[in-house]
Amino acid sequence: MPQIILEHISKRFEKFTAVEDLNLEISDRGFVTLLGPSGCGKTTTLRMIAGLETPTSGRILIDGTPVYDSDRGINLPPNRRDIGFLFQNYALWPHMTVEQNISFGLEMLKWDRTRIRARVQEMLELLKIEQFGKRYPSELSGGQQQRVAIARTLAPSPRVLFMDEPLSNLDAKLRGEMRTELKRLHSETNSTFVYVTHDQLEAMTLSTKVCLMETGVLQQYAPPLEIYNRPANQFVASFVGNPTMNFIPAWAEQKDPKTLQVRMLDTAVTFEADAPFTLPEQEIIAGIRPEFLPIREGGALKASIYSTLPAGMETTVKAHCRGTLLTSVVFGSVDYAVDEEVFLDITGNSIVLFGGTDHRTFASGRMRFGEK
Amino acid sequence: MSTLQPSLQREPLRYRVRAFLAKPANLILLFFLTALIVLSLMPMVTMLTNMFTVHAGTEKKMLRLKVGSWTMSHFQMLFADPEWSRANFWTPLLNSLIVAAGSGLLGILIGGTVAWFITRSDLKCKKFISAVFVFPYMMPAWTLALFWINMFQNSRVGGGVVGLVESLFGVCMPEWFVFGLFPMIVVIGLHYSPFAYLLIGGILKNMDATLEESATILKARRMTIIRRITVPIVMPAILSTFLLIFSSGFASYTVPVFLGSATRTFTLSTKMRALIQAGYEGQGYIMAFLSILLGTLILGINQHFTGKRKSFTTVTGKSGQVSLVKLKKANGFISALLIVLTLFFAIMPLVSFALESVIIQPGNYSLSNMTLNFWIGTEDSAFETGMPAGILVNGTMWWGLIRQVGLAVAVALVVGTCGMLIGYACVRRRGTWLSRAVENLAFFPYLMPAMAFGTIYLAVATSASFKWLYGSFFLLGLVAAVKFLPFASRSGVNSMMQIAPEIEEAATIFGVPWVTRMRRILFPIQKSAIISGYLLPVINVMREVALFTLLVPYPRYLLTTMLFSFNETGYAQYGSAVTLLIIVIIISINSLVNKLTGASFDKGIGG
Repeated sequence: MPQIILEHISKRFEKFTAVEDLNLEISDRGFVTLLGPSGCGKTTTLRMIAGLETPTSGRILIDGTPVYDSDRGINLPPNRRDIGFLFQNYALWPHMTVEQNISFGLEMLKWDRTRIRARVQEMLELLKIEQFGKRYPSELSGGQQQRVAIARTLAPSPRVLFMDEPLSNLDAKLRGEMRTELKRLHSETNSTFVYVTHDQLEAMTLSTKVCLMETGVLQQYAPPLEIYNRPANQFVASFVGNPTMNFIPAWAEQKDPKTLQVRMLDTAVTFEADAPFTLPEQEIIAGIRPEFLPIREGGALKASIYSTLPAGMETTVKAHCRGTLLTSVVFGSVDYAVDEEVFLDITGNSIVLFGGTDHRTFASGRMRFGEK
Repeated sequence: MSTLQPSLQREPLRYRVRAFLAKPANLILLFFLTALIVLSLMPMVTMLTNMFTVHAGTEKKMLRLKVGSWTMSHFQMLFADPEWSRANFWTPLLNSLIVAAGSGLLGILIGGTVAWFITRSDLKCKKFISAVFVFPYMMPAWTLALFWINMFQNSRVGGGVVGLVESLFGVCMPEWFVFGLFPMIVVIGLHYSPFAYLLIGGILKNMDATLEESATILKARRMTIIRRITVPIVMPAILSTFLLIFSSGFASYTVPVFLGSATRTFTLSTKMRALIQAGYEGQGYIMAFLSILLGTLILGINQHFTGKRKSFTTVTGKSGQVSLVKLKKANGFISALLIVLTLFFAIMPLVSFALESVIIQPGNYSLSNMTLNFWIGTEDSAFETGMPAGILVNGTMWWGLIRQVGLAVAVALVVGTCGMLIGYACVRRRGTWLSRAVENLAFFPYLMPAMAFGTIYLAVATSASFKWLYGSFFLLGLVAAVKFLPFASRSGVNSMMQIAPEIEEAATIFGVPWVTRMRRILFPIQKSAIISGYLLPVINVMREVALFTLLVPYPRYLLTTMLFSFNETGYAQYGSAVTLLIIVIIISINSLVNKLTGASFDKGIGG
């Protein structure tokens, strides 16, 4: 079954490099998300695997077969890679009905008529759009068009399905529904999904593995929770998670292979790592997720409320603590008055430390107030 | 997994070449790059050498030099001799500039005003006015010139023939009104005002209404909004329209010929032709070259304006909800006035040509002076007309018509297809130098006034190695195809820009071959735009005079050149009949295609 391997893939346009020496292994039946800010090369990567874009150098293998190899001049067209592609703007053919949109690709694959008809019916049912078969795309809502696009892509049963920000044109509620549908489709169709998005929540909730990119360079390739809890560097940490992680400048001194004496926000803190490490430099940045900075009586960090954003289930609180604006998340709806005085605590065991100059993660672990 | 370590080098050249050639868009671009260099750059070279060489005939006799030898004397004569220079270069140049600027201003004034009324006020009968107003743009510009003469010529000017106005009302218009620069400006300005109307109206209609609404909310008054918001936003379009009319007016040949000959008012294009005919070929080519330079300059200025400020006219989905200005009491009057004026310039020419084609003695519009002999007269009833019979029963006329229609269809097939392919390839490979080169080369012929363009090809066809081309149907088709390619390639590019590349890629994923993608996906989606792309060259060829006059083997070869020879030789009735025929054919083609496909030569904005 299909496993996709990218080896040293680069894509250079006239003046800039879209993707730089990318190595990636997408395992069979995985749901891999290419995540990153716009312009990071994720769509280009997807299009190169699909064969819609030609890399400048490197090699791509699908299921052990090289589909692109710059050294040997191999470059298979998309239709010989056994893939499906779902476009951001759906790319439905406006002059064909829903049924024609779905059947056109099958006709091109020289399926016989009865088989095509059966497959179209099956697809309409799978995506719950039976009643729209005779309509034109312009007569459908965005969500319905999306379903038609998925049906058209899935109809020839591709073994790999590529999706380029397929949900970004939908409203928040529909997006949530379609996410559920996509995850269900993934388990039902037994194929490999490669998914491009700039929405970290989508990446977190859908994928088995996330590939985070920035300016054409791979930052981290790991399962979502590992990305969340053990980000490889400060960029990854800041890109994933909402509200964003707190980055607090600190000064550290190593006590033993697993312990640091840290001074941040004019407070002494002890850091205990999960594994032994060496402190790269004394200037560091402590990365603390908002949920690890709870507001509670007896917390050691005195702060004054800057603003409160209740969302129902949880409340995001921004507070000033010794000149630094910190973000905290509190469960439930709480409303604080502006400038009210509160106390913050540090909890959790996924506090991450970054080097002050290279912004790379060098340790993660727990923090408590006071000296050892 | 393979143990071979792929290198970080670029692909070897031969693979890159193979990948490059595997894309149909690249093949198309390469083909057109070659073809266009040959067809539009090479003639330029021929023209340039002709500016510096001695030609047979007058030049050879005058200069006593061998034909083909190098000389600067054409330049000396054209610029050094003050007398000759003023009469043959500076005055015609000044006239051309006056006509161009005047018609540009007039066109904008009329077209812009009507556009504003149609899109932004509660004017009555909008649909009707909009439909009739674009009529004159469909008719060849020279028909308006002939109409002008038919209406206003009188016993005191020109040939002394009595026109409709004098014969009905006894009013004699002064000479400056009937012939010369004034009517040229009016006729060209009127002809292009629908063009201004379509461009400015399109922008007014698609302009984001919220831009004006937000000014209303800030308590700006209606006039302030027009002055401070609307006009600045449409300004780039107005400037660009002005420049396009300016260059068309500058290049115009037929209108100045009809309206200027009687008073010997020359413009650069008419002088160019006159010089070449009189044997001053070198000078003629120099003038052709200068008008091309000027055309390039104007287009450069135009691109400067539209390129930088294009973003002003962003089309959003939420327009069309503009609150219309209430004209109140003036509504009835303005509507009536516009209806009368548009009807006058749309319908009256037809009436006038019909009348002129049936009267025996010019200027006498009584029934007893009328006959259908010019249309259906046979040999017995034919007059001393130089023609054996009326035009509908006349072999010469039918052959002219058949050739013209054949030419139009052939040119349209070639040009429409090429335009579409160029549009497709340029859009797909957008951003590459190849795409830019082809797009610019395809647009290059637009910069050349038709007369200059014909002149260049004449130079090629009369040169020794291409003698076989001269006077051939093939040459006419070739020249027309290159000349009308700019419009087709522009509309091709525009229509392909409308289609997101994913629409095609979605089919590529299924392994749909290129030809099928074009046939089953791209063509059907852009059906209307593509058919317009074919329609435009048909109409252009049907009404073109200037381009063909120099290149036809004999004057009565085509319908339009035949008409020209009728008018030059004084068979005005035949001329009027042929003109009417041409107008009717053009309108029929347009409405037929419109009925069948919804595509139209002029996409209306009214209603």
